[in-house]
Amino acid sequence: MREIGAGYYDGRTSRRTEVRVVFYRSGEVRLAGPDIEQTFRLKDLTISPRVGNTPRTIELSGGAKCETLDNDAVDAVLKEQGAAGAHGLVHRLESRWRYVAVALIFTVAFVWGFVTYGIPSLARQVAFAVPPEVDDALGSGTLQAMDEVFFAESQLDAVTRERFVKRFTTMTQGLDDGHAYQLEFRASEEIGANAFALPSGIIVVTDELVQIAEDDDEVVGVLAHEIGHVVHRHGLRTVLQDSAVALLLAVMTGDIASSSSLAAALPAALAHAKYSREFETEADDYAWHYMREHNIPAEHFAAILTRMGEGEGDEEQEAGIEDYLSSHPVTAERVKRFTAEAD
Amino acid sequence: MDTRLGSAVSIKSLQFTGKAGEYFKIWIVNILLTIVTLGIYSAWAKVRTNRYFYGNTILDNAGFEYLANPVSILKGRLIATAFFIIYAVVGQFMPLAQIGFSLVLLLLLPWLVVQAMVFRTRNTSYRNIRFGFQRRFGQAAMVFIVLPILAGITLGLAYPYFQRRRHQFMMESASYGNTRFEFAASTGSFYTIYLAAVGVTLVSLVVVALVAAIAAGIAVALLGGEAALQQGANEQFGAIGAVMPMIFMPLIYLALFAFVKAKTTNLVWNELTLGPHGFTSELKFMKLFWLYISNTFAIILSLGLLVPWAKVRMARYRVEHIRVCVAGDLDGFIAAEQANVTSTAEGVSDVFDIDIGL
Repeated sequence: MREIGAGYYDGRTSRRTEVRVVFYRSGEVRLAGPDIEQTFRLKDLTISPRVGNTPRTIELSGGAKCETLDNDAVDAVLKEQGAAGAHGLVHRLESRWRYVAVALIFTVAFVWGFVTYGIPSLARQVAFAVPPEVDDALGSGTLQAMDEVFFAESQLDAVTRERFVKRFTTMTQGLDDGHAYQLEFRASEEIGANAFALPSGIIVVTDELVQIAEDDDEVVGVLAHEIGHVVHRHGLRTVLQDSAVALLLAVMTGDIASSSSLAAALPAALAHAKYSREFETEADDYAWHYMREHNIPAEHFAAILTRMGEGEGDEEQEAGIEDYLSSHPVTAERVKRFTAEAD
Repeated sequence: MDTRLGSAVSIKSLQFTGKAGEYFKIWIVNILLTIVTLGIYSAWAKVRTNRYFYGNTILDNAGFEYLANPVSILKGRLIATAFFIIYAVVGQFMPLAQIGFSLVLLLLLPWLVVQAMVFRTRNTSYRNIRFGFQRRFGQAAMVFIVLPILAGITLGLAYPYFQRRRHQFMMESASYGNTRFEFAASTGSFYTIYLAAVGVTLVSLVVVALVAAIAAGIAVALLGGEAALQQGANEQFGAIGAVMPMIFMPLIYLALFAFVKAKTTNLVWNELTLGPHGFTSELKFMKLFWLYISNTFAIILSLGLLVPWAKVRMARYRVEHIRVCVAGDLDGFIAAEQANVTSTAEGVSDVFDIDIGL
């Protein structure tokens, strides 16, 4: 038999009575204290699951409870009577460091695997299962907004624009993926030489990009890269992947509006940047294949990439810590690819 | 704090007996089992976490107990997830419908807040007597819809008044057994806190601006020397000037948040009474600010592994600075008649469980 000290609370008032509780091997439980003498069968009692070393509650009949700090004795009684149950299992997992270490390793591996492979894979499947009209909804309003803030009307002459529109049409006419491809030109001093793709298929090229290009095929390379973003539905996949990461973080930290939300912003940003770099590489792949298929020398893309990078002081050759937050792979790496493969 | 004549008043502190190492093990197993069960275990994880924190909060030799049924919580989470998915999907195809959805949610907010409080308080007991929360939906609508709009219209001037009304609503709807809580703070004391907060912010901004200017000046001098001071100074100044706000603005925001939180928590506890008993709280703003910062850095640097340590640390600080001014003893409370809460309402409202931060 085992005996423990406990506080008895009748559930009608908040008064505490000190009692001794005796557990017999027969399954009988006797409660004794000033003005109290009660007998129960262990199986009629509900004992709370052990959580760390918090006070253990023994529910008696009639709404009364006993509260004891002697968790070990209660565990021993339950074990003897064969009544440990599932909660005992969870507590065992929580109390041995070796299980905890396994749990830690598994969790880390799972999270890393899920974020690196699981989420992108799921997002890709969902994105392609969804109709292209969803992409249109994603980008709508962006061009108007950018026109108000960054863009001015293009100053290129009509002949130049017509030339590129023609090339663009040949690039997109066979695609048949539900997107309404359209080439737009804008002038932008703040942005400089660049190009954007909206998920709907509208691709915007700045005057400055056309101006720094030394060959039409350089612009074609950039167009191919942007078309790649649309074909592969990167806009939608970005939204899906970012949401999945946010949900994962919320589940892991246990709350939606967490006090550690500042700390959660960093992993979310890192994940977003990583996904962004992967999409840029996938768009580069599309450009590379397009250029190869149409016998356009790959160096053209490398050349214009380098020239675009020069304006931004993007000359480092090796990846540094800050590149983990970068949305694009290191320019030097991208350039290397388009010049090496050409050989 | 009010002392009633006739009973000897003793000051009893609360203790927090939780330990970081112990909680870490519970926390990691919670995450593991949640992942393995695709989220189903999260309801049990929440119950275990709350039992750990409540159970380790000790007053006068007795702990608090969290009594919620994990199954109700699970049902609630499943329903909430279904709503969220519908909301997201509808939003993709009919953005206008999503606005309608949000509006409905806003109108339901008072109801949700009350239900969440009912769920949480009725599932909390001390010495086998449950806490309770009155359902006063009309008051809730006033406090959670009308007053925030008022605060917005007045560009924040009515915000302290809104906070006073909100805390009053929360405290005076709450009860322990048959005894209702009472809250005596005046609107003026809330305005004092917020005015002081504005002052603190202004001082911080000035300090930050000075530090930034000095640092930038030193940096430019070190990096460039005389020539740079004339030519490129502007560029470097600008670069440093751009980075400084990114670091300091979150810090200032956090300081402001810690200040208001500490002062408000102290005010609320100090003006709260339960029958003949009173409470005091003396959180220090600087200490709370330091806790927030160090916890955030610890969590980031440990890639999240120090989350349990941070939670235990914060809980310990907040619990151990509350004291109860007990008139006589704590034996005099009587249980209230319990009405039943439907489990759907319980579970769904749990998802909106709002941290009242006491």
